[in-house]
Amino acid sequence: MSVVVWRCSGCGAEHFPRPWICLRCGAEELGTRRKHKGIVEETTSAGPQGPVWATVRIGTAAQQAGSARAIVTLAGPAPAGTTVALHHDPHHPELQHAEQHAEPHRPDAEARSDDARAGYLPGGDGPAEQGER
Amino acid sequence: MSEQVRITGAGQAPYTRRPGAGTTTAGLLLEAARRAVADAGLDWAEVDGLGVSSFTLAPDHAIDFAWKSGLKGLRWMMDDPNGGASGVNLLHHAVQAVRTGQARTVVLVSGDLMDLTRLRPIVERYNAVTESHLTPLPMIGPNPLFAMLTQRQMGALGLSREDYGRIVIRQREWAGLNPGAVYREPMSMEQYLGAPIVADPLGRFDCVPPVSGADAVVVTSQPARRGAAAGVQVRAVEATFNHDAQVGDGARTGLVEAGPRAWEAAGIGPEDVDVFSLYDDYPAIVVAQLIDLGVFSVEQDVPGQIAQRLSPGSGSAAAGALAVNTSGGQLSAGQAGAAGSMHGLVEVFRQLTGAAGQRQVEAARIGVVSGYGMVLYRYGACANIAVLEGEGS
Repeated sequence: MSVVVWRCSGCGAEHFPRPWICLRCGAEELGTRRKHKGIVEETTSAGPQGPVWATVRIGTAAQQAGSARAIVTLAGPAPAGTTVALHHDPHHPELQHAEQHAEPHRPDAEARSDDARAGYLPGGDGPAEQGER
Repeated sequence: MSEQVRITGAGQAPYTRRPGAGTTTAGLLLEAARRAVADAGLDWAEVDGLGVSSFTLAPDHAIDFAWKSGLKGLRWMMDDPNGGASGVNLLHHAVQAVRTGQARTVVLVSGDLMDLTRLRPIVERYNAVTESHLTPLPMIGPNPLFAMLTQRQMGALGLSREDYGRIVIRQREWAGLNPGAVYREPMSMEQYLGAPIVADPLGRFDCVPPVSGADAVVVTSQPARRGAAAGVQVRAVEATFNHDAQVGDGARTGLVEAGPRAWEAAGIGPEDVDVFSLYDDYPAIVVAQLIDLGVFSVEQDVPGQIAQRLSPGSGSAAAGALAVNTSGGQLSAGQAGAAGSMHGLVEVFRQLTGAAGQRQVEAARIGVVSGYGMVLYRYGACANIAVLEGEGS
């Protein structure tokens, strides 16, 4: 239950997604760090049946300064300010850098919602409509 | 500028939701380009420079277009893949080419044949990060990203959906005066607010409708051949790329850097502008650009500034009213893929040459066009601006 961020060996800046060099100091050596939690900044959805997407600031409240942001799907409701657990997306194990699936972090595992990904496909037949870009 | 560079012609392949059988991207581009050259009073054979922007021309490129359209002996050519910033970016390069004598008459053209079959692969593979980090979520297209950007802007500026609605409805009013706009029916606030939600808080009318079409302009140092009022001088073009490396909130565009440079180069300020064509993939980006260009002040009540200067029914003659996206913008005229980057250039050219028909802004002399685009991960990374002046004024 974690995501990988890229940490500069020189200045310590953390990045996500992976850059080619440190975007702060230009150093070429980037190590990895696993981050288990993030804080939701905004969420949006395409309706009750669709996925809920969120911008998450990676890290706990104590780690927020300078931390990277990730776009994730939420497995359940999590308003802005909520701390969420971050984990791999089991549907895309090949995406080693896309471990940004998030769900509300609750001590009680039974409180988790089901994965909201299932069955959602935007668009349809015919010409695109306004909003379908 | 050592040599005055001007735009002397503009043309479009009409925007349509349902292109006819046999329509091709190349055909749309050719139609717009030839209309622009004819509008400039030039012969096709006089063109010695070509700039092309298109998502769906592939696998062809500008050189294929030149070959198949009979543009021989070109001295300058470029493809620009920078989406919503490509039109002004092409202009930026073409101005330098003409100014330095690399070319004498450049035609710039952008456009696409858009339908879901073509659209979906483009948005799914917009760049490597989109392909690996967004498409699998699943997130197809940028609407959710700009929904969250809009939320951030709403929180920072105290904006409501009604404030964005005023911008959208005002643009629809302009579209009603533009025979080339795809969506021209009047829109009420109730209709705006009641439209289906695309990605909260964005409703259907906050998102550009994909259409097919193309736009083109002619850039040259030669005087306009159509009369004293037929040309538009390029007073400044400025651009910023990757201005904040995606670490900001996206509610400030690169115009916060390019805008002041453009005002300084043109020797004017935002208060001198008669007509704006601001890149409008979402109304939040219109607001962001108005702030970045110094038209709106965040030190003052931004919802109040929208209500005062962009409200529906505020004709261009009303005190303080802004003429923004007088074609209806992409939100009502439609977004023909890469043509969205040149749509505003064509509209401002028409306004500054007195060719805007019923939507003509009275005594329009100075016009500003902006481009914005290339969503890297969370928001667009390219922004540019052109300051234009009608030669007949």
